[in-house]
Amino acid sequence: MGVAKFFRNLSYDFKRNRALLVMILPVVVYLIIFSYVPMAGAVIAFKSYNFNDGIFGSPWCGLNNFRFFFMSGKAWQVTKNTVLYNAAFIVTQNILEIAAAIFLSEIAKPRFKKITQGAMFLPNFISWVVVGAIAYNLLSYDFGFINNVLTSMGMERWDVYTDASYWPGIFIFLSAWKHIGYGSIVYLAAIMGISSEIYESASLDGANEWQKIRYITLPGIKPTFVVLLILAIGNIFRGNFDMFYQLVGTNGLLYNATDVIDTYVFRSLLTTYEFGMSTAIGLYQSVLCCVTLLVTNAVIRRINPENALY
Amino acid sequence: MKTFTRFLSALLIALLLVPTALVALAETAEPTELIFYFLGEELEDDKVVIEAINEKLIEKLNCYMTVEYIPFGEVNTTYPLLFASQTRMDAVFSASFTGYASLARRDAYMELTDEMLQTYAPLTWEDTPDSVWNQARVDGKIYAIPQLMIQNIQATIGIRGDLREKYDLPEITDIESLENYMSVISENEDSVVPLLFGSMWTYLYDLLMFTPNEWQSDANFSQLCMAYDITDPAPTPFCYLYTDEYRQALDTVYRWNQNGWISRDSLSNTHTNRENMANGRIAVMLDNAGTINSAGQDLLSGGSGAYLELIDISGDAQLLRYAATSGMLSIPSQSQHPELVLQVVDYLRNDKEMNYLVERGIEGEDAQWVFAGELNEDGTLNENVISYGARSSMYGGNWICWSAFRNWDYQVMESEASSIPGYREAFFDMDSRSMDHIMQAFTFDSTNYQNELAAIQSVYDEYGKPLNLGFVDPATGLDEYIAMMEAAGLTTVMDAYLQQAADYLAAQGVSAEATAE
Repeated sequence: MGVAKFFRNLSYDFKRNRALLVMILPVVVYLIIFSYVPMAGAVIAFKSYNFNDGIFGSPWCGLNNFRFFFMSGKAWQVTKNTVLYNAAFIVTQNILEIAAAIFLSEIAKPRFKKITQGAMFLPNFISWVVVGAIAYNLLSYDFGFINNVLTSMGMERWDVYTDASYWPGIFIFLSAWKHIGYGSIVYLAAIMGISSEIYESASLDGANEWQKIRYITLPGIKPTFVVLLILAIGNIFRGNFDMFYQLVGTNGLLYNATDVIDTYVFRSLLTTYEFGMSTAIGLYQSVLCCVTLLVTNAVIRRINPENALY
Repeated sequence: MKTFTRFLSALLIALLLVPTALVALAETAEPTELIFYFLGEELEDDKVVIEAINEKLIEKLNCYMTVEYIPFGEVNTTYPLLFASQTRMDAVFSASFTGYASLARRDAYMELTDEMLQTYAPLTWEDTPDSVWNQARVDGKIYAIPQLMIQNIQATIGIRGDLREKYDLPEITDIESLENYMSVISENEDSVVPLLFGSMWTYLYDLLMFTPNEWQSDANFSQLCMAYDITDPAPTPFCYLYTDEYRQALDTVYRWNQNGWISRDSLSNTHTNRENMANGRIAVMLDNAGTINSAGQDLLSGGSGAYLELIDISGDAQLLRYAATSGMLSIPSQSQHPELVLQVVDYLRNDKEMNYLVERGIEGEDAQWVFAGELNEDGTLNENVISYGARSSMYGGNWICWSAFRNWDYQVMESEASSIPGYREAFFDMDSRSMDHIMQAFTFDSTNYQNELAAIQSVYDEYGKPLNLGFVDPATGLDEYIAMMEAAGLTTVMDAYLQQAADYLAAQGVSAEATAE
């Protein structure tokens, strides 16, 4: 009876929402092909891979591929770095993106607004390889622009590449610089979606600009913020490989403060061609990300069910 | 009725055979495409030279090469994925630094049996010494055709001769005079540092430890820090981390670093010595003689008055020849034309005209090269000394010609005009002191130690490199480094390594104990 009812409802839903379902179909197909089907390849994490037998024919090796990660005593260090950096990026970038979106929405002159937005958006198109080269040319001890200026003023050189304490700040700054323009667009769209009538009524009631931001704009973009937050937390165990690798490279003195899971695994396995071991760490990250995502969503659902993803 | 049935059957058979026959005819008529993968970027004249090669290949073997390129930056990522994705390849560049032994053990390459080589590459089989073939053996089997190349890659010293002249300094003859030179440069030149290392920092230990002690490290597993004595015909390998010689070398490097002779940027620099020299950033480069000569040419063509001097301070030390496994050609397991590939290699490697074409490009002043006109002792033209043509930089920069096609009978030598002072002397002197060693053919089977190797690699990068470049005081840093290496499993892997090395030597009919007696 239950099954029959389920299919009846399903068929009703199909008929009723045919247009919407057709619209979402390409995305579903895309996800199945590029996200779900490749998941079968995760079995390599438990196999001793060879080229002749391929993914499914290679012999099983249990949890052996996970061992190296925990052997060198770096697993906790790099996992902690990954999570802390991502947490810092999420907090700083969301605050700055929301602030930027609010400022942009308050700019009255369209020309100035476009120029500002364009300037903020530009860093998004610069690859980390280029950023890494620019950073080296700015920060290099013997040949860097900043140190040339400092020495010409009779000041001490700034030894950035041998002192790890500078790097958390440098990463947070550069990550924000690169992502604010792109991230603020989403918030700007959310602000544009708030009815202008609400602002007009507030003005009639005597609210000033700050009060309108505080009591209308911020609550208005809260659902967007929560969705973006959950999605960002869902990736908290994945390090931004490009950024960390291009800026730090193979500088061992900085690893304690800059090594994330992705760079550590890349470096360790660069010369071994062990697909099984790299897949094992990818799986480790995916499982942790999935668990974090579920927990975050559950917490948000408990606090405010309307804002939860599902 | 019976006749009709027979007729019908015959007709059907005929109809079925016609397409087969046509296909067979077409197959013999159509030249076979062979896909070769090499490292590097495609250069402007590559197509023109390959077209010229293909004309001859079609004529002789009814096949042609299509060349695909793997950029240097993608060697560690794209290269293994080509095998995993079953990409169609008939031949592929291989070398110790592309993980040759490791990939061979994972069935990425086809085994080249003695019979295959004797049948399809007879000239190559004959002309290649056993000591060279042995270097390409993994667990006794050959998976690649190694290059034949006379070259030494031991560290030599290149210094800015113009700066030496400027400060009226004596010629460099040993480490002491080098230190004196670096000290003067460091004190007086603001925009130049004596040394700036990048990935080429290993030359430092070549200069200070390996060459003077006549040791050779295992380049396939540099993270294990294993070495052997090349003067011993059956040596027992050892981990140099525990030696006094290493501690002394570390002390020297630490002093150089603290004196400011090694740039503080050495851990982050990604430029090569040659680039840094051309950009006027460094006064000293430790590199192989060939690279220093090229850097010297760059400086001369810059026209700034700067010039390089090349010094070899290795004295009479015994040297090893450049490993034949540094440039090879393998046939992937999925290749459909292994026999034809071997025939192509045999032809391009041993036919003089073809070897000139593939290794040097097209002859002519307005093309890649011309004979320099230098004579042999008997008065005949030395065909291996060449001058470069107008388009020499448009071909040869990628590794088409740095692989199994290399044949030392036709090996190019720079003319006097394109050699910096000291280069030719060092080249011939080092070659006269060089030999192949039985241990060059030993490959550690790391299959059961991949976890340890990955963990050790991580420690080697994090603790080893800063220590080796003098950023960490060896008085405390060395013990910490060794402790971390041991925690990552160094002792376990070392034991296995020593056992395998002993087994290998025993299988070759020599053993460390026997020699010691």
